[in-house]
Amino acid sequence: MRPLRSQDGSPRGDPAASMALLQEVLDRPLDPGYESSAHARQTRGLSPSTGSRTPLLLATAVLLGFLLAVAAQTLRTPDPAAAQARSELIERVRGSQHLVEEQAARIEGLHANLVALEDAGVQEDDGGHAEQVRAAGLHAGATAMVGPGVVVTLDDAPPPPASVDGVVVEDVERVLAGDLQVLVNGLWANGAEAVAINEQRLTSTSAIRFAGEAIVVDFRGLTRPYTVRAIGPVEDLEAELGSGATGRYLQDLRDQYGIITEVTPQDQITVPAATRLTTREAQVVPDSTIPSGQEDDR
Amino acid sequence: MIPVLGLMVGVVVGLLLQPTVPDWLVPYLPIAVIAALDAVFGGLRAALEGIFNDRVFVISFLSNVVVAALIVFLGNQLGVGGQLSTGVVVVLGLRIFSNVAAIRRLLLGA
Repeated sequence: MRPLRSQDGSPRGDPAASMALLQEVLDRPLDPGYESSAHARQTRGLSPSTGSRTPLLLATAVLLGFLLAVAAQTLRTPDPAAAQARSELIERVRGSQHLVEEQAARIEGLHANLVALEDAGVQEDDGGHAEQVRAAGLHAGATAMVGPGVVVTLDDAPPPPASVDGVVVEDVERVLAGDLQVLVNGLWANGAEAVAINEQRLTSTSAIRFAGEAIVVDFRGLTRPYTVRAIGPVEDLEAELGSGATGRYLQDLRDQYGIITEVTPQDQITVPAATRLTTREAQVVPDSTIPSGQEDDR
Repeated sequence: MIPVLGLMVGVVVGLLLQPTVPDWLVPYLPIAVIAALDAVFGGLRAALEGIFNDRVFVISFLSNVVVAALIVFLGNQLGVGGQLSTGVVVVLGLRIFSNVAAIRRLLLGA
């Protein structure tokens, strides 16, 4: 163990010897070389300091500045590349979203054409079929509907206030597909004639599922908040959502998980037409003037 | 003043030349910078105490950088690179703070 120089005059005995490392680091950080060379110079009669004008010092200063500049540049350059890649990706995402919107509009237009053609085709038959098809379309969800009903909004629980050290708490209580299923089943069972979630019309073959992190209705993902619009007898629906089984389920969600639920009766609810009705059976009509068969099994 | 001028000249030269550092050298740059800072503050304190010696300064500067890089390199080879570099950074940081405190005492008497 190197003997410690007592800097304040008090002798340091053996008990402090084990602290030598810490004290070496904390108490005497100045390189001892300075002191010993200052001593040496003094004994030779020179001033203890070599001053600030020696060429060696200048060269070292230049080298130091060079090192700092190079380090700063090298350790900073990765950023622009990543930022550029990110902004490029954002551009592409926006462009694709725009494309998706255009295509969706085109789908709407084509769908309207299809419906018009089908209607025209049905009209060519005797009137009985026309009524059947219209009624079937109504029940299946092929047409948009307007009427009085109930709007139920479900939303994820609000995140708890920012916890220790600003760490984001990940486990927010989310609305699950099962919740939506229970709600929609309750609505159907109590007289709802048309139900839509977030502008997605539910047909008799609609599936409400959970895929990854998103709720998927008819293979289309939905984002929160989930607005369920149901057209039907307002009193029955309200009663069910207030005090019936569905109402109790919603209350449980509110109390136990903090899921935000809101039930609002409305006089005018518009529910869009379903977009995923497919033709399952078709027959070519013997008369060749009509292009495609109209026997739809919806 | 002259050393400060030299420093600025070095920074300007570095910014102008923009040398590309080889990849294997990049992990040692932060440690080298901190070691250099430690030598600089030691030199500043010595200058304020009136016992500055340019030879000692250069030697401490170079040896700090080389030793720090060696320790990090050794740590990488042994698989404890992260921990060793943390240790080096902690010690150098402590020394820098001590030197700065001494400089502050010498300059401001506080």
